[in-house]
Amino acid sequence: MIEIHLYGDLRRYIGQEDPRQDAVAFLNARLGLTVAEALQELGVPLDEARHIFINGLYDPEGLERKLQDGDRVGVFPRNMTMPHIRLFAPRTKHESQA
Amino acid sequence: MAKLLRVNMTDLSVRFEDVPEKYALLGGRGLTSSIIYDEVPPLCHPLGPDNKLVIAPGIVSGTKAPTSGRTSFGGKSPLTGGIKESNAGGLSSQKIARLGIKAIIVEGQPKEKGRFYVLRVDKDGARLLPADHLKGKGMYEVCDLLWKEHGEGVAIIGIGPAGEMLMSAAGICVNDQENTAGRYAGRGGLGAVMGSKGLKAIVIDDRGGPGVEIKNPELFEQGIKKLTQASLTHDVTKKGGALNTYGTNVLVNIMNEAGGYPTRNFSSGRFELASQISGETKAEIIHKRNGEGMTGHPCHPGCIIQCSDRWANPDGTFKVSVMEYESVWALGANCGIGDLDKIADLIWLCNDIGVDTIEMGDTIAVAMEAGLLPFGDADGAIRLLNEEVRHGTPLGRILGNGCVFTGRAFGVTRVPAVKGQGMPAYEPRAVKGIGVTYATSTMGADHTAGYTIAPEILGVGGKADPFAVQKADLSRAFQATTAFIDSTGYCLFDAFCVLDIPEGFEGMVESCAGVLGVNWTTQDAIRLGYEIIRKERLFNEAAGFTRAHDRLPDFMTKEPLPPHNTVFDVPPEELDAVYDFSKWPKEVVGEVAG
Repeated sequence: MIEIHLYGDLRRYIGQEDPRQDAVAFLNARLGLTVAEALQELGVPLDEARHIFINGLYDPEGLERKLQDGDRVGVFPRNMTMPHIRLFAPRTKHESQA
Repeated sequence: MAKLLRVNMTDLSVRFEDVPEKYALLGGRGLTSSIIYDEVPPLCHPLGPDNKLVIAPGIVSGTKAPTSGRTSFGGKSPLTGGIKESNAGGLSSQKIARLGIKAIIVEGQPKEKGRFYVLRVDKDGARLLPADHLKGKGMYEVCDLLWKEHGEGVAIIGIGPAGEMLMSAAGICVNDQENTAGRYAGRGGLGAVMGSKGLKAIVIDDRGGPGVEIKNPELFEQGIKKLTQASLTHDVTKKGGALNTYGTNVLVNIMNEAGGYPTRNFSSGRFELASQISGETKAEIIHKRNGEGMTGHPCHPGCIIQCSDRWANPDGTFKVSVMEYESVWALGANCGIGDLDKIADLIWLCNDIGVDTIEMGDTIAVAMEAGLLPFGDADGAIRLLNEEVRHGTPLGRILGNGCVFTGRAFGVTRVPAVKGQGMPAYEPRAVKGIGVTYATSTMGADHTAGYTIAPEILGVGGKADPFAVQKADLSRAFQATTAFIDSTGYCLFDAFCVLDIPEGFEGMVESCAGVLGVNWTTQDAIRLGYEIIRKERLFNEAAGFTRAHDRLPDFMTKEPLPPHNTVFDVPPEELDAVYDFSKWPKEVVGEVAG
């Protein structure tokens, strides 16, 4: 199972607009499924998916990442960002391939 | 010609002085730290007669430059024992500047203990008035009374009972356009320094003042045009952007997702009730209650970002301003409290009593860890503030002196602080870059000391990728740039748009150069930032700080933090490199003598 947490204006794509509730979609893990494909399945326009965390790690190339069973993805729209994001350690190449 | 206003609390005299040439191009933090460096003995007691409280608007404050109403407050900190600059929005900066005053220096100490005064500053000069009727009063009542006495619209700088009682967590409050007490130079206990001077409040009435001289109006106009353009187009700072829509509290969900949202006294990086207190939820509730609350509120006139808010009670009546990220975190997640109305009560109390929300959140969490009350006990936390701290009971005085003092009193070893100052809302075990800043900043653990500008601008390695440079280099560059921005009067949140839009930073520098009548490049601005942090560092060294003070608390290097289960593992050599002057970028600062 893969958890996809949507924030801000992205919540509406899975019908959970109350910000007091976590907006989480669950998808079955499939070999080679990327974040972009998962978001398309949920009906989230990719150009609105601006900032992506995978298992709590900010990933500037998050859309292209292949997902694994148990992964947690956090997706924020363009207007939910802070420069602090640049302080988060990006995933290393090694971690991305793992 | 701008003047310095020197206020001697020993003989209760005031005098205006010409600005020495060495201070002519300084403002804000650059000026407060330089005056402290020049005039305050580093080994003096922070609450004794030799310490000084220096108050300075920024270089462009008082002009029409957007979002430039920050006032810097400086002194030797009773919390850290080192130099301190803490700045706030509100009404004071622009009004001090428009009276032609570059800085107010408060020195000495009244011979008669327990007497308090109000300093009134207006176009005719300055005078000290007795303030016995304000003694012991909270900041909300102080603001109301002073507007009644001095006229609506005047700026008020003041301290609550905590500052009068010389508590190290006491901040200095500035009122806003609605005369709400809530804009705080909170960090480092400068409220206690003001209290030790017998100064309860400063009233600034700028009517009829000379205004701010702009020596090169063309350059100034060009600068503010560029900066305004950057601010209005960037996702973080524009209308409808992150700050304007959700306030700084937009960060709750981001930091929580990142696993770097300190929870229950820094024992986890995720809070299961984060969604209850997030910026999204805050904005939704304010809009639904549809009363006196609002988002997109400016903390000072002329702010075009407008990240502040006014929180309303369930019945729609106004409660408190501002529900910002640090305060909501400190008194919320860090104490295990997931209820925005309770958090609003706690922020209201901190603002009234006059204590820093971050320090008090850290302190209450340490008290919870000590077993004084359980995590999540909002009513217990309210009681601690309202019955103990406000009245200066023995327990209240322990709490009012911050998290390190409280940890020592109750035998708690998990105390999140550097140089005696409690940590803000970014877990350094999850966000290691900010951990380097917490460890090494001249201010103690400080979240504002480390915002970033593109590395190319800073000359820290010539690479565009911020991850490609060493953490020490990056942190040092952030700290220098921040010191410059803190000197301008611009809000640090302008850094958000100048980070990504180089013309924005050029505009910021040009607007300062326009006011001062100089030709500054962005490199000159960064060089000034380095000079400021160097002076601060030298003051701290003379005050007894060593490399051992540039470390995070022991537990953070040992206890893995969920969910990433990482410790803070930046090597000591890297921390030491930040303030190793021989490693500073020569192309920016030249040769720096150690």
